Amino acid sequence: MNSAFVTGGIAIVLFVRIIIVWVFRCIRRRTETNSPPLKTLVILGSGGHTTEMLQLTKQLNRSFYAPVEYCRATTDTTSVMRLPDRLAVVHTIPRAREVGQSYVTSLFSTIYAQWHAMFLIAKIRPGLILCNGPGTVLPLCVAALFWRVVGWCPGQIVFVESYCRVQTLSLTGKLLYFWADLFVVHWEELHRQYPRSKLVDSFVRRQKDE
Amino acid sequence: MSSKNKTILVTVGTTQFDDLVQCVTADQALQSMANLGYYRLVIQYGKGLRPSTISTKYEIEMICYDFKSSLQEDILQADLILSHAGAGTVMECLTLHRKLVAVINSKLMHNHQMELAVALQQRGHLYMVEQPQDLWIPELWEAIDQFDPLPHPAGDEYAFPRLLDEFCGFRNNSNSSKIQ
Repeated sequence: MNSAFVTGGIAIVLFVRIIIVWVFRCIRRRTETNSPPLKTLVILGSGGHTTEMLQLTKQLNRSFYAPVEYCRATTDTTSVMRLPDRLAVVHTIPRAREVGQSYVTSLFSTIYAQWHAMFLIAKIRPGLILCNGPGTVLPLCVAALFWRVVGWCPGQIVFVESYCRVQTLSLTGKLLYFWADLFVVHWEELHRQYPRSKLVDSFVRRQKDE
Repeated sequence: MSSKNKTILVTVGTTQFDDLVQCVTADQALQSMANLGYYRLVIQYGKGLRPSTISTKYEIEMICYDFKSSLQEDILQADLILSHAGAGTVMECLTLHRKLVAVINSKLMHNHQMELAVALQQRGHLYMVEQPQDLWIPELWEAIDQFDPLPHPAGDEYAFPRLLDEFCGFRNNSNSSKIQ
């Protein structure tokens, strides 16, 4: 009984994995023939994450990436005031876990956040999702992956690690490293450890000798 | 270097860092500051405790506040900034080309902020102090005084858009350099 359960579980995991890999390849091919504009969802992570995200997206070509919509956590009220575009559509999502919340209650709030994220992504149908952490982005990325497997929306995930991370990835970064379609870091030290990542000098220009 | 007209700004950002505030207001640190010609000590103490009065024998004037909407003016007026290692404050000081000492909060475990401070120190942009108590060492202040930071080059705000355009297969009209 027990071993049948385990074997069944492994089979399901493998099956899902195969589908994901297959979908990844299909979407890769579609990307190359992508024609703008691409509906873009920018996830604001509060505080320093929002600062970085707004700087990263400041010079995006708005004829390629349109419409740009934003998503913030319900408890984050300051990020909206900092948006360059006052009329932008801003969605809200409940936080999976507040700082200091117990693990038992955070199980329920995570399920609730995930449930919410599923509907949100299905409604928005983004072509592209830009995120840079923290954990708030995870339910949205899971939802995007699900709807992509189902074929409802492309929802390509672009994850940009925080500029603070020089030697180690954040937990969100570690979890998204293998799924994100584009994974961006700011430091040579991280880029060397994670060869799938792309290196940009959005915050500090590198010297020639580095 | 003995002209008494220099200002130090101590900033802890949006949180609290009472160890740093206590260490800089102690006589051991004030003595070193006075020796190097600092006469004004501005302290932004955040959510922490407001520092008590300091000894008057060093003739250092102390100004304290918890928060300000923008620290930019105080950063520009300071000759030296002692800061927590938070990315926001560190980047602001470096962008404004100020001499910065990043003090690590040794009480925080798994302190990834140290990564950024170490990396920026290795590149010569700031001076890093591993714990606030080190500010009682006179030799450390000599080293800080002699430290000459390398200017911090501003980032390329088109770097990420270029990468994203290439990833999505959009042809960008700006000068597209190769992605690494």
